[in-house]
Amino acid sequence: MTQLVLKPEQDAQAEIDPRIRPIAFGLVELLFDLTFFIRELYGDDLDCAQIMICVNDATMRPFMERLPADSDVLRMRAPPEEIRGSISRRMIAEKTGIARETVRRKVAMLIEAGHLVADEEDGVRVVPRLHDPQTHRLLEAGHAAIKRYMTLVRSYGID
Amino acid sequence: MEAELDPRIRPIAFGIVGLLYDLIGFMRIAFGEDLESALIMICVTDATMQKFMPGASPDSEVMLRVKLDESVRGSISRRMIADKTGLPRETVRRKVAQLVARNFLYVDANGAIRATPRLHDPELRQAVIDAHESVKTYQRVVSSYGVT
Repeated sequence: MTQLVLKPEQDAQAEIDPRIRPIAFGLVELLFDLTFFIRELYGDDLDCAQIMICVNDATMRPFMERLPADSDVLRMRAPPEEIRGSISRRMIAEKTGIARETVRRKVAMLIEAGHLVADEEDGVRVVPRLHDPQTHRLLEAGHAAIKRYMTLVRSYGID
Repeated sequence: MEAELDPRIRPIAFGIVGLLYDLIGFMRIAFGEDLESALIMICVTDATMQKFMPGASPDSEVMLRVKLDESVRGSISRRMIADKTGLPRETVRRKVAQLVARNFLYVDANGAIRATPRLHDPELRQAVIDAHESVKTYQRVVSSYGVT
């Protein structure tokens, strides 16, 4: 296990950027909510959660970045497979910093659990879940938590 | 005919995935390598800060001082950590012991748990600022789809 190596402490009277403590306070509140979000959607394994987030990003980014705000795709329960992206296990390891063998093993577990699928080129993509009422509820809760974060930090004069 | 998706949901999902991508990196720097430990760290850090932050004005000493007096900071019992996080008490006891052994947490004179002060660490301060920028990026992303 990694030991936290504490940097030498500064003088107790030294000053810090006054934005730091309010942002840290807001982040703690936000992460409290988002950690529940992660655990409900992806389980307790941080590596699996990070892999799921990486694959979700790779699946959505190719079409989301090009969509106009009024696109029909935003209303589809599952976008057409041909516009969805995918990512290789090697690229997941590079992007997440997780060891390749760990990625290989965890991706196999996530496919077995029905969260991911492998495509014909052996890329990996997520199984669409946005139509699931629980996912819908969690996303709205996450969005609300982010809005509370912004309200909190703004109350300390931070934009 | 297949029911349509609420058009807010996909932009929110896209934004949150991008945000979590960044925040998991922050969590690993700030709170360690597993989600249960991270949740405990978040809970204890919140208890530590809740005692002084809600009443502090933006220009108060609390915002400027790199290190705060112990009497200002809050603490929390293991039992309350279990209640707030929903983790089993035995898991909390074991994970807290590990986090204390690793210097992330410490036990105060009353046996309560506190987060080890770390805001004097420039790496953590930069991670805090970067995480804030990630939240602002989330806002820009969802706003671009008309989601408020």
